[in-house]
Amino acid sequence: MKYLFCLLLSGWLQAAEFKLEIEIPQLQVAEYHAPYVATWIEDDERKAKLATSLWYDQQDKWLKDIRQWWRKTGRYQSSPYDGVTGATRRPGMHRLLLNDKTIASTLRPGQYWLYIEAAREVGGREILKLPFQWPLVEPYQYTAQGAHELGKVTLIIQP
Amino acid sequence: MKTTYRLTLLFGMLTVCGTSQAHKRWLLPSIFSVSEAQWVAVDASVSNNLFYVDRPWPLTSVSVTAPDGKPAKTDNLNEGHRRSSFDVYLDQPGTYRASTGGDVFFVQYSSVDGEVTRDRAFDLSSLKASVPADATAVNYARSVSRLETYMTLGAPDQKVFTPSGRGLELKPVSHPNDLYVNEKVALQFLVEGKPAVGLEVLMVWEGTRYRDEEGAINLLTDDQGTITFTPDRTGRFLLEAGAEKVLTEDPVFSTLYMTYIGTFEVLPQ
Repeated sequence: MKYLFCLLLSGWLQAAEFKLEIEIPQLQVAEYHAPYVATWIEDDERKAKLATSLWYDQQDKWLKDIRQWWRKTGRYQSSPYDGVTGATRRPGMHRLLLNDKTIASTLRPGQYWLYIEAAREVGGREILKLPFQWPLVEPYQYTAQGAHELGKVTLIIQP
Repeated sequence: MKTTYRLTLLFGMLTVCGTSQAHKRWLLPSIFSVSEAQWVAVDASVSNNLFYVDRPWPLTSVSVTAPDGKPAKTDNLNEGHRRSSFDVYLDQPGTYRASTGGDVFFVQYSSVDGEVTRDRAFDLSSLKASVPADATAVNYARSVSRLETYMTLGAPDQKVFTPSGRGLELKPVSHPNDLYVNEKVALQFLVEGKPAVGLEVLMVWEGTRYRDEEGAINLLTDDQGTITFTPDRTGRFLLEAGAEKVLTEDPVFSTLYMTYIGTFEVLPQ
């Protein structure tokens, strides 16, 4: 009985792997700054549940330009910001491992959206949203295609 | 005794005051919402076009209230030829209110030769001194005006909107620094601390220089003193409202004029 309990518990706590593959497009512009990129999770009623990542260059001044992230979660925080944080990334493909344990312990069963927003100094802003169900039994993958500030973004969840 | 308010368009009031109705007074911050402590520059001007500076607005009564209710740090108060400006330092999380205006006194009288004179001053005693001893039909009025805008560091809060009970005041339902396109906006107005029911509020979007019509939108407050609208575009706009109250028992003033003017911003989603 004890054995079974431990098994169940570990099964419950065993988090899925949340992975994002993010393409930051190469842009032919006179003045290029790598974009600030933030991700967060919202429920089906557009309520932010969890800030999951932030790439920025340690300057709070520009955080407001990641407009939706700032409104939904950023402005209620201060450094260190929630989620996986790091420096801005240059154009190319990037892999981002989100904190699966925090996600698993925060989300109740339901429909969610992973938002990714990119804002570039003297550039544009773009936001993509990737749907997912929680919890998942089967591996899940969803790809969205950005138009200018983001390229292909893929959410991969491995239960 | 029942107090009666006449809620009028600001234009009506300004006509009484003898000011051209086309002129708009406004405060405009260089930025409304910031994510780091910093200086914000605020322009104060009177102009026909929003928001293009034309004439300076006096800064004698400018005040900026910080989220903790204390005066915020200001610097470089300057009255130029085409505008006034000042800097405000935002270093407390929350919402700041910049306000100029204060009280203005008006007089109207008839001279011995029958000519009607209207005058105004920020100081009542100097206004009184300007009235000839033999003037007749001397009529004094007072105005409480608010020319405001709001700026936020970090998350917006409501502390600076605690009503004072004087004049016409904004008590936001939707926070002024949290307005987004295609999202319903609700703003409550209070007249002497009570909901300003049936108040006409005039809304004008920026950029009047580049269109043929001013395109003012008339909004009417409901029985809670609240206007509601859904902005279908982004950008900055001005809200203007005016109310007047006939003072039957005041020893000096026959009328109290109250105005509210505020500058707001709508952001993209």
